[in-house]
Amino acid sequence: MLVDFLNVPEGALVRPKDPLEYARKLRFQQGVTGMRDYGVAASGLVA
Amino acid sequence: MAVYTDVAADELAEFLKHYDIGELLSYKGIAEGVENSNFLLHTTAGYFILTLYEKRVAKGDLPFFLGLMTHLASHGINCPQPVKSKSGEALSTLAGRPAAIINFLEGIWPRKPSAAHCAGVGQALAKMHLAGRDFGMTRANALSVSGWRPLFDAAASRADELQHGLRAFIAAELDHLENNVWPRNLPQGVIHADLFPDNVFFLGEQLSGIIDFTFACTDILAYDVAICLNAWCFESDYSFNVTKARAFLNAYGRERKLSDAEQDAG
Repeated sequence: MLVDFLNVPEGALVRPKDPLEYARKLRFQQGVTGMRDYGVAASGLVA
Repeated sequence: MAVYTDVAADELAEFLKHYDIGELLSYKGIAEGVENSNFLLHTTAGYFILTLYEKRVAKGDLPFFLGLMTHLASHGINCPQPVKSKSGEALSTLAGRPAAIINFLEGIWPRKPSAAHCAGVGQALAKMHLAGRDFGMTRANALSVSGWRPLFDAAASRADELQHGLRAFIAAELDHLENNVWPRNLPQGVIHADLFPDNVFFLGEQLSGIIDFTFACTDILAYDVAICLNAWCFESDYSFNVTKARAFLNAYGRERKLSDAEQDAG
């Protein structure tokens, strides 16, 4: 994302994703210790 | 109007003579996507999408992408199907670039995904993983851990232009991931690898299709699950929405149960 964000060709109709948004999300993920942090107990996953 | 590559109307009309999809009425560039140039074609036979594959996409990978869409569609997955030319080819050349036409899927991508949207994408992702099991081709994931360092090296010197400390933050995370913490023995198969909301169409809250397979590859299935948790389950203030995550994970799990190892990797 950082590479895309820094290298948008001139005139291109693209909207690269914001790297800082994903840095924020990564900070959340760094604190995850298990499925419970995603709102799901392992037993809650139904086959 | 250009996306990356401009196509003249007369050139496009001539190109379409090789297909049995009627005559060109109009076309326009589509702003979505960062890898390729996409155009919406309106012909006397209906609507189609023309993709010109730009330099970041290896021509040798195109049979994988096009074959995968054909395979998944034949297994009940709502995704675009390549339109073959009159000579039976799914891949052609236009404006000096590899080109393919796919059928148009109705729907719009959700700008503010709801829990129902998250459930829809969870179910569709699991079905896609199951449908990909007997796809006969493989493609290595160029954007897994080993691919991140070269990308970072190319951009690192400018990272702090966006935010002071960003370079060190990314470097530390890369160091961590390269230190053998990345899970490598989880179930593998065909993954989409780019299943952000702008690649999933809905009609209301009903999923109508998955698009853009130009990052698709063979890797751990949990990679797709992780991408979706990041792409679908955060709010605009970057808070994590456990209701959406629960909807996504449970819908996925009803179709394909995550193994204990996959859950432990979370």
